[in-house]
Amino acid sequence: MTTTELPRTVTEAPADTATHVVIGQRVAKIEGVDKVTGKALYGADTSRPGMLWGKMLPSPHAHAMIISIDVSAARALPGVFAVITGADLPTIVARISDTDAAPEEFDTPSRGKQILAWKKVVFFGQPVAAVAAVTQAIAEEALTLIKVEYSPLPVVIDPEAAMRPDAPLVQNAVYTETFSGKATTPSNLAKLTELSRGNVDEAISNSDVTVSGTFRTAMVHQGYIEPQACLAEYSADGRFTIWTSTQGQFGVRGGLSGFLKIPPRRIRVTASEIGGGFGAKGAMTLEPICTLLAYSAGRPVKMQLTRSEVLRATRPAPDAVMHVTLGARKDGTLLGARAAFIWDVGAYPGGGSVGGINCGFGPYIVPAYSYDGYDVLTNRPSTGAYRAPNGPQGAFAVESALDMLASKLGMSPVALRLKNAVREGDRNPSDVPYPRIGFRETLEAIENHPVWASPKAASSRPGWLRGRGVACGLWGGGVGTSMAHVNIGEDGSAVIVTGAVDLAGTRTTMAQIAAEELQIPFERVNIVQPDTDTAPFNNPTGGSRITYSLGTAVYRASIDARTKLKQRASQQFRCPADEVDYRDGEFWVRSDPSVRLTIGQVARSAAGSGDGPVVGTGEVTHLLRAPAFATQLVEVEVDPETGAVQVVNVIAAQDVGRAINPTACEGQIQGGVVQGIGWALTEGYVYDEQGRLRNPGLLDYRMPTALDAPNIECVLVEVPAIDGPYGVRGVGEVPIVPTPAAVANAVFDACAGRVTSLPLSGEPVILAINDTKSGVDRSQMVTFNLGPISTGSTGASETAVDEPKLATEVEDYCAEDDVAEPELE
Amino acid sequence: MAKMIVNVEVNGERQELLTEPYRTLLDLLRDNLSLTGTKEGCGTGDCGACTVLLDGRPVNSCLVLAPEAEGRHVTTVEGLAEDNRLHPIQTAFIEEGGLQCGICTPGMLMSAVALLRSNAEPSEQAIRYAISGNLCRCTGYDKIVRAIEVASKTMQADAAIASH
Repeated sequence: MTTTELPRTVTEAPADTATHVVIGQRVAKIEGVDKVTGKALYGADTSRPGMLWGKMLPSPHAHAMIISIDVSAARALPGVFAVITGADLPTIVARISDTDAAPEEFDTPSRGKQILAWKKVVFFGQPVAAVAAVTQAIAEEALTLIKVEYSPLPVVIDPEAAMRPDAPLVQNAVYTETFSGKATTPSNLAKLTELSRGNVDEAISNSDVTVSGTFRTAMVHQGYIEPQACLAEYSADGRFTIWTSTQGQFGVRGGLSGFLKIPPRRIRVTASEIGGGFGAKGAMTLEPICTLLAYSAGRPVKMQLTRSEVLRATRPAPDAVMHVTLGARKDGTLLGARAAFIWDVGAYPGGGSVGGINCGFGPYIVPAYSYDGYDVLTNRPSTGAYRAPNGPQGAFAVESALDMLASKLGMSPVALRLKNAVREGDRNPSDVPYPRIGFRETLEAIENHPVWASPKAASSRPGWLRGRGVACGLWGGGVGTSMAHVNIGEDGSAVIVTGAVDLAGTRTTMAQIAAEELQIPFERVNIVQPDTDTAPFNNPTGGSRITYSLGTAVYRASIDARTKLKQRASQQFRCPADEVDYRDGEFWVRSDPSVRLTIGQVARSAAGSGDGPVVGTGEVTHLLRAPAFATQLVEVEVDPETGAVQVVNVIAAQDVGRAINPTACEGQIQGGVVQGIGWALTEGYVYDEQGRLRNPGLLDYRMPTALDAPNIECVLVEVPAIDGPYGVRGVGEVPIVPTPAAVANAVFDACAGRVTSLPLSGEPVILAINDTKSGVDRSQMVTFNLGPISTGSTGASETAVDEPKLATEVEDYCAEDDVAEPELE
Repeated sequence: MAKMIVNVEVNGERQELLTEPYRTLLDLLRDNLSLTGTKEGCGTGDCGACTVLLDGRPVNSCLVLAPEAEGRHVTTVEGLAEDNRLHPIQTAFIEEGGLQCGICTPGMLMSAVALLRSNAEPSEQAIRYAISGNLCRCTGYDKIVRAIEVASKTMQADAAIASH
């Protein structure tokens, strides 16, 4: 059975675009007025009477034992209401939960449990203590009064160094996880992932042409402009009330419930308007500490991270060292690939190899392969999700290698990719088959685009060199659990109620779906996202799942509302429901179209004397995945004297399945592309040998400004997904995946310098140009030997590494599964 | 440290505010006046989310000490709409998709307003330069630039009508 024959979940949604009234329209953002007038409330924009300010004390060491912490002077400072350290956590949680919280639980290598360092610090800037005081200034002064005695330990901040047997151990209780079990001695190698098929050695040796390269990317930050902020309050009825900037209010509720050991009903979480998340705010940061401070102080506590705290101590994207070898026939057909992806996941396990492998190699048919992924611990902040987690890194390596292969074969880079592009039914590196996808269409869109089809333009800057480069990317597409209610008003309006956070403009798209299915004007639809007490349960927002999954829920809820309205109309008409017709907000009996009732009239009557007010409900937990693909063409100009690189044009072709709101789709694509440009050119954490971050500020952590961003033309390809409403696919994550590689490929085209390490602007370009001129090839395959990893049953030494993360953390459902999805009958 | 009084006109209204001298104009706006439209993104003048107009000039309010605001005129995003009608720049941002999460939007709008007051028909390069101190992470700037272009045309058309 091919995948297109699998039953669709939403079979009535018409794919015929000619019949749509609201779907496909560039309607204005539904919450636009609040945002342009300053009325929208973000994480730091609320306050409560008697509110205190919370602050955290960061560790000045990247790796050190904590010998002692003396908080007495801080506690005694007038205006200070609470001071807590890691050692206090078990007692406080025991009091809150009325249980005996075992201290060992808070001393596990879990970023979710160790919200404050206890016996040792493992990265620079790790919070060691927290205070709550009447003003920010008093809180900061209290921090200076806390005396911490450290005993520094050797620091390791390079993942390859961290894998050597003599490397200092970052955590004492992390044992390498492999497919065949867990190791028995602790190690900095948290996880080893091995994916393989066929005989790759044979395939490589049978190849006419091979290329090898070592590619590196730096640790980068999601760069949301709104720092995390939280306001927590405890009341005498035992309930916690949390206001926070998060990608998932139910995720925070579930996470706090696990951390505090109390049932979720004792916690109410409201998600503020979110000022950017990009995956990072799918994990809790401030909420646990803020909650504990509020409890200890007996007053509401507000916390807001400073920008340097955001950069030093939240969850950046891992840097990677990637060794790739490709083998192909001389006609460009790939025969085999070998790769080792080494991820620096920071000081705690988690961060995932598989996403990078599946994004990097996923677009191509590779008959024989061996891909190894190493998640390695170092004394750097624990990494997290950043928009298609690990995809841009993986794509940078593979797409650069493909470019090198095209060059060696004398083949067009687009033609090489078309030759090996996956189609429906082909399998990805995790052996999961692709359903209907629109990859080739994006490649063809670029191939036929005038910028590619015509000769290269001349440089606009005198003395600069112009180049163009192509790269591809994909994202598997998340699903998750979504639910929506649609409340019908007595004026014929509809209010959608959902507990999913609007991260990327999905409020507006959901309203469009409801308007379309209820057949009422878009202006009559509103949408609210209330707290965890009032909203139906939803997984956090991420993985490009909302338009697809929540869209299905809203679709179903709208159909349900319409069905209920029709039933009530039939009561008012006194006829069977199947004799009632409906169109554009009006009901009538088929045999007598002259008598009409509007939705509003039906709703009013039903509320008064019929079967009651109408609320439609819709929920979804499972849909078939809808992978999305993209091909990007980037044009750059390079100054060969300084290595400066300016991106002057981007054409981004992406399969969006069905563009419900083309403006919103384009906005997502353009935003992802510019993040990719920053990743390629100027962004990267700089650490010194002591493991201290040297650029924890936005001046030196250099994100693109309006002067760095080019015009970005979006080509929206529409190959409908086989499940979900209208054939829609998630849009948000794919756009960032190809961009860094496309930029590097364009730079090579401009100046013949192959830069294999990001960020690349400036000196790396000069060095690459010089290498080319002098015939030096720095991109060599480095083989390394880990030595045997002992696995087997671990008995008592197996520690619970489960962190009280969000109920379904973004990474869980946006990363590809390690096993093939079960096939439906 | 003893508090002081700062007299400042905000969005056309005179305010008399009590503050420590080391606080910033951003603190005065957000905490004393509860005008939370202006945002803190970095506290060091690198992101522009706190941009307001000080005597008509765009400034990073996180870098203006409270005493420096004495006797001056401040315009924030809350002061752009008049009589419950949006300013053309606000309308253009909504219609052109010039905002997504919206956190940079207040600062962006203030920089755009300052630009259009001094240059009624700016080129794309002039627009990009004027907003180069306002970081945006969601939009990639493309639709922000379009929105400012559209607003400049609308405002020129309005001015032409008004002058007849």
